[in-house]
Amino acid sequence: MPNGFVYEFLFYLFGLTAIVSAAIFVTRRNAVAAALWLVNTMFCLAALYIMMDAQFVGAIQVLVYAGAIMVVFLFVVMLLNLGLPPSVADIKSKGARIIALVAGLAMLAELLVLARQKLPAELPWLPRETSVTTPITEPLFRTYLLPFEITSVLLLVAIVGAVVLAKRRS
Amino acid sequence: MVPEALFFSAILFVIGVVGVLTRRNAIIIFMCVELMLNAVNLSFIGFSRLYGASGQVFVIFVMSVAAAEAAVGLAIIIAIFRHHETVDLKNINLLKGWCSNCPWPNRVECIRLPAPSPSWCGCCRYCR
Repeated sequence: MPNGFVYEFLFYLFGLTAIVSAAIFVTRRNAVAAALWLVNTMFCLAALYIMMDAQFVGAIQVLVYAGAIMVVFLFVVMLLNLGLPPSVADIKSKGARIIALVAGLAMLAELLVLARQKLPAELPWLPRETSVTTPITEPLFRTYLLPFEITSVLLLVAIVGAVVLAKRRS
Repeated sequence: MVPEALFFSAILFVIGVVGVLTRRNAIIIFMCVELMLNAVNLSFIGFSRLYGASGQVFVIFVMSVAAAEAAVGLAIIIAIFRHHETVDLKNINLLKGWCSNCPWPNRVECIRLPAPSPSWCGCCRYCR
């Protein structure tokens, strides 16, 4: 059952790995190294999704986020030849860093206070016989059918916009 | 495990915010925005443990919007790089009206200049 010691240990392990990877990602100067640390964070988040009974979303996270989106980022880094460390300082000045630190701590305090609210009891886990996509399909294709269809238009617009913006003008 | 997931989500979101506020490389800032979206996805999944599977549907929507945003945003970055030869946001401040290389980075002094000085940089419209 997913409530034993091993489960909790792995949950904390993946969560802390995600946070540490994100912290390393923010401090890397090299864009390629930063992207690969972010991929590590996304893999850990996929593991957390799977451990929280969202197996399909975990698979999509690996395929779409860690696979497709980060490959696009790395492709652009390669295309612009940004792999080398920049000669100019990539980090902003000291004042901006202090402002960022204060803003980050304020936001962290606010979010942690919000996260400590009283929460209702967790839902029962899915029985092992059900398919992992069954709980998603019901709301996706009934309640949220119209947003789902609009998403296709959004993706079409994004494709056309990307081609128009990145095309070299003759 | 939902409170722990919300805790991780809050920390990841704040790391993304601090990255956006401190970095100057446009691509890294974009990656920080992706990290913030991922943090929100984690709390969506956590709440779907409490309130049903609608949270997972929202995660799928967020992912598709993030994919569209990455495609358009990176195309914009490529267009900017073609124009400015850099993705350092310090050099991309057309909306400010003056450039970072300007010897008179203060707009008022720029306007007060009597004539095009021999040392004008020509890169912003108040020094021109």
